[in-house]
Amino acid sequence: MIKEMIDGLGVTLRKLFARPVTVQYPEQKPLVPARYRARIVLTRDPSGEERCVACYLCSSVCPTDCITIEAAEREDHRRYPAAFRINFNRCIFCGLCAEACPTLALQMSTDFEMAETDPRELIYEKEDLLIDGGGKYPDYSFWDEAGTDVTHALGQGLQDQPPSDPRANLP
Amino acid sequence: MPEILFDGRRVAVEPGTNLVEAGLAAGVPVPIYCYQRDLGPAGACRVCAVSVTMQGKSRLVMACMTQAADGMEVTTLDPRSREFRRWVSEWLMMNHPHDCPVCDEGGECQLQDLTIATGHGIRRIQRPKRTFRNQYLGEFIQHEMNRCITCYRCSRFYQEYAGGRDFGVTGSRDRVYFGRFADGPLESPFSGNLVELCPTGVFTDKLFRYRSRVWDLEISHSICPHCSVGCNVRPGARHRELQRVRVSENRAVNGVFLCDRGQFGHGYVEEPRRPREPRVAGRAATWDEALAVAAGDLVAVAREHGPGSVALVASSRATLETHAALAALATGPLAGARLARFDDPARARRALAALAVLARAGCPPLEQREIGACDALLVAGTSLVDEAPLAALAALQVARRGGALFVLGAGERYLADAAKAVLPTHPSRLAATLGALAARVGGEARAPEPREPAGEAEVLAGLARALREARRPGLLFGSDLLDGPAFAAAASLARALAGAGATPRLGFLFPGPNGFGAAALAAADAASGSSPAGALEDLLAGHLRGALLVECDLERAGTRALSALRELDCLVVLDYLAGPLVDAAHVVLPARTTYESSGTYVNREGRAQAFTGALVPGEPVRALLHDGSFPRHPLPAPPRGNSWPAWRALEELRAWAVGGPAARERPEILGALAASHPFWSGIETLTPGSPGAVLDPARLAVAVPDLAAFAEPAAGLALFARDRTLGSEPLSRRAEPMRRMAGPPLALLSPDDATALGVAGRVELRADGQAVALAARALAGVPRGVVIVPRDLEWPEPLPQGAAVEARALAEEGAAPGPDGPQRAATGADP
Repeated sequence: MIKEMIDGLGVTLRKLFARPVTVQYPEQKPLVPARYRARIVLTRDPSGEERCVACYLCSSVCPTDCITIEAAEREDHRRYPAAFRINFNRCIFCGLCAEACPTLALQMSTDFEMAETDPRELIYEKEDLLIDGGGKYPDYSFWDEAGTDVTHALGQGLQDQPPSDPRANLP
Repeated sequence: MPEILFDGRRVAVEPGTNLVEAGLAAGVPVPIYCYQRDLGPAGACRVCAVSVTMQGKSRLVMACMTQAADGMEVTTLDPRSREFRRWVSEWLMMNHPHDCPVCDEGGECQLQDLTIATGHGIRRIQRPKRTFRNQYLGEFIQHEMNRCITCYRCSRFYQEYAGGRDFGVTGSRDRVYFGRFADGPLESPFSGNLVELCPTGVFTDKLFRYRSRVWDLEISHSICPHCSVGCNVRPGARHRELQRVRVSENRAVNGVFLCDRGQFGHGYVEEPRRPREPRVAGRAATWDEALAVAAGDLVAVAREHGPGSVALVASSRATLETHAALAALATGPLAGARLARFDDPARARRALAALAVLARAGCPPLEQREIGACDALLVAGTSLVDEAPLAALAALQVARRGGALFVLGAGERYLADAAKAVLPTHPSRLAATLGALAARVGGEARAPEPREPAGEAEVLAGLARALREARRPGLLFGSDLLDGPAFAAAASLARALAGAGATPRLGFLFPGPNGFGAAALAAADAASGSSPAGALEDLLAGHLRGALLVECDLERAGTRALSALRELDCLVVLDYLAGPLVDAAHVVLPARTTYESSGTYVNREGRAQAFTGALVPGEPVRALLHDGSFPRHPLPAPPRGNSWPAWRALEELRAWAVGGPAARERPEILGALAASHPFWSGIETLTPGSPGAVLDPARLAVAVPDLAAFAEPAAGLALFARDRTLGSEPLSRRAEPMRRMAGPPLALLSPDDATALGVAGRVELRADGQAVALAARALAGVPRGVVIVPRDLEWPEPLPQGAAVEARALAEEGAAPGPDGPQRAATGADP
């Protein structure tokens, strides 16, 4: 028994002189990995327009049903969310929405500091979610790849041929 | 019957069944793009490849192009057919754009489903994708040709099934293009089916553009309220907004097709002016206040002037439940109040006349699904595509299948080209023509009357022969262009056919989705002594003192009638449509639309069908958005969501007005109606989406109403009003895109009259000291001496059918007149 006591006190004694593992948050900020799954943001494409096309895939895949969207069409025929809400009271930060997002608009950021005292403050609308840059994927633009003529003339997209003429019968 | 083994399941099918249908019979859904049951196989897409083993030899075949034969072993699961289908997916994806996130088809896209099912994920080819210019196809359909997989379903439906000519396929190689020759609205009134038929997103619903994903929609089984055919639809709603209406497959009624009026005419549900809250004297009130005031006022009028001075009026768009609840209101102090089942006296009489013919003819009803199966069909007294579009689509199939289609009509445009013979018949001569036909069917070869136009005798002789020799003859009559003698002649024609050994199927068109039901109830009212249209006529003439109007469309009843209604001591309006009477009413009770409530309609063939609502009414969420945000504060109840189903409001009103049993629920109302007369038995157990119950009018005692004959006017033209395909009945004319597609109202004249009058673009019609100017066009199907105008044409005082008008050509102003409905060229009848 004596041996066990000495062993135990030995551990205490050793740790007394070891570096503490406690991080002095908030004075001391922890280092968060780049792919950490915290506050959800809506990003913009390289031209500065919002990337989200309100396709409803994130709200459909969300297991807690915390995303609500209302799609609309802009004057230039661009599909966009007239309203976009994430209720972070319900969000479990599983990241399925970011995985589902086909335009890379919705991304998980590393900002986990979003505690509030009033739950209503945790209901984020589009203006709260939109950030200025492209997040983790600064160069991607969905509309350049989509094969539509919304942001450029028909056939000018990255994957498109010039428009064909169905009335031509040349080979 | 060939017996085959399909993926290990033994199944016996009819001879001639293809392997796709055989697979369905065995419970194996074979992948398909181009095959569609009603359009048949095309063999264009190659995705239905299956392996067939017969007599020890195995090979890959296209399931849609192969008929089942005895002893076949079919499988979809072997590596060879799987690999083939995976290739097909990869080929189709070579040029398919990367725009699924912004495509409205996503979620109900066959291409998406099958591409995932076949396992295709990465596009290996690095070649840029082929692109096409899109066309403007009108206000209903969005065109996105890049998505096309050339299954040819659209052109096969549009040209072959629906008889359209302005849309088709051009191009060669991989440049096959489905569209019009030039941009412009699609002219077929059935263009909306392209949306449902296209297996991917080439044709999408413009009204539903960028609204929702289909899996988020609240969907119900409903009945289209736009005409008397009673097509099954599934309304889709989200965020308190009716976003789209699609056809709901019901093989007993409409099959899988729907007309544009039904698919795109739902704008009235979200009309901004729609009454959504109870109002008393122009101010918002609670239901209790409004019901108390309405009940107190109606009872006060009944006490002071006698219950006979109060009219209780419903219309043919009110449900059976609403009609039953309205009739139940006439008890206690309101016993003896005058009931009207229709909002138009003339249409009420015609509906009863049609019901009387059906009740006495002893013929089976011409059901919607039977129309296309007829081998000889007579369509008389209607422009079918304008009054019951889907019946016209079915009638066209008679001609497509090689049957004899005959039209005795005024201004029939859609069936004109397919019909074996079209006989433009002046409505005042329709009875004589039908009589001559009945005589010929009965075997008397009558000498042609001196007034019979040349050629009519041969047509009638051919028609009589076709009807007599047909195995399945059908007779389909309109209603608005028939006079009393014409109804009698229709009955005698049916009798003559039955006497000649044929069993004709007999059908009439009725006004409104519940016209048959309203007419049956009116027949019962008439049996207890009230005249079917008397109450309404007295009300509109200003002889009554109080009225309760339930879902009535009296906007076009004329200035005299409207001022008579405004001067009533008590006017209570229960409706979901805005209008002058809602503005004038002392009490407004907001009702729910068809898509927001449950109810029962009886369609023109007598089929009672139940429906349920898809949404709870209220201010759509879209209207509450503020600066990109949803409403920040939770709302206790849907704003402006205070509408009740009309039957519920009437039941509550009865509890307020006359006491008695507490407000009943739907099953009790229907149960009481079913118990009241054997005719109604079965209506209380209907489930939405089922084939419904066909009611037998022979069980009813229907008195033939007093209906005058049309007279051919001595001078001028006879004026007839009828529906237009799009935008003339009270519901769809409130939809903005529908109004744009319908164009301005148009008067139709016979080419002879148009030439004689010198009509180039516009015409002025003058009668009884009033004049209306509108665009005019000559149409070959219009008989001489007749001018046909749309029903919603506004006259200061409405004119009866067949009224004499003077027509005068006006100098054309500016541009040419717009089309009367989108099918103008399908008729190709320019002078």
